[in-house]
Amino acid sequence: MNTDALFKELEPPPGGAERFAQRLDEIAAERPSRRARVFALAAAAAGAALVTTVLLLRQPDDTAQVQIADATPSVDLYNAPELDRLLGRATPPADLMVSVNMQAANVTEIETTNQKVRIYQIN
Amino acid sequence: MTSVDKAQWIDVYRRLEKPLYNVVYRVIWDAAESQDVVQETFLRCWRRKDDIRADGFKALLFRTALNLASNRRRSARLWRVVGVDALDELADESVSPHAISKPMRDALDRLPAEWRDVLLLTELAGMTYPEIAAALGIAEGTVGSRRTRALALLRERLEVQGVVSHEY
Repeated sequence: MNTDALFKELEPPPGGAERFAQRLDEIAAERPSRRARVFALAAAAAGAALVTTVLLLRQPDDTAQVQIADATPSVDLYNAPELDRLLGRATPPADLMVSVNMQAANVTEIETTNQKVRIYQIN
Repeated sequence: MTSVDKAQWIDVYRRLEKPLYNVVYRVIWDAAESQDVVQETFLRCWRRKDDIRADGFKALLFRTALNLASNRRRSARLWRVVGVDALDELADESVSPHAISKPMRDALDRLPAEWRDVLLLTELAGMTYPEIAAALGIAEGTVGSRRTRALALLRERLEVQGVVSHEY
């Protein structure tokens, strides 16, 4: 007896190749192919890119609408005497309306030497 | 997986099952477990098939098989430690169809793992020294020196036990 017995060639149990083929099928069935994974990844990336593009394209439109709305002054603001003063325009003459205790009152303008000052007397 | 792809893998399995089985069996000493390890080895390589080079395939197979076999062996030892040695013995003796005497198994088991792996690959895998060096990640010269030391230690231990004769 020598060490040859330790290294003699042994026969594996029968049916190994068939069992291997079966296991290969099982694993291949549960595992998506690399091509399918690449396709899914590409589809997800394309979807994300599409959403981003749509969002970026929509953003300027909204801003433009806001700007247009802001650029249109209201009639009240346009006719306000404050705007005339701000722009240095002559203030159109307007009737003076005075109310006392929720009732209209007559006023009389008193003359002054300073043209920037006006004094009224409630009758 | 195409049918051609599958047929090629099964063909390679048929050609390399026997040397792989013989190597793995000398690590875990159980026929059914050894066959399972051989199949697991092929399945792991199949999962990585896109990254494997043809010239390194055999080395990768044997390296994977040795790693898996060592892991199974450690697992078996752990079960033995926690008290299921009776089951282990049952698997070892009755399921295994190969008659390799226990003193021989013990002598091989007690070799340093690095020496044992080299010995198994040189004696059973039909691999060249460069292939073994690639599989184990060592220099070619180391393959030869480890084989020589492993054989010498193995004979020495078997002689002490009276298993091999002095004239061998």
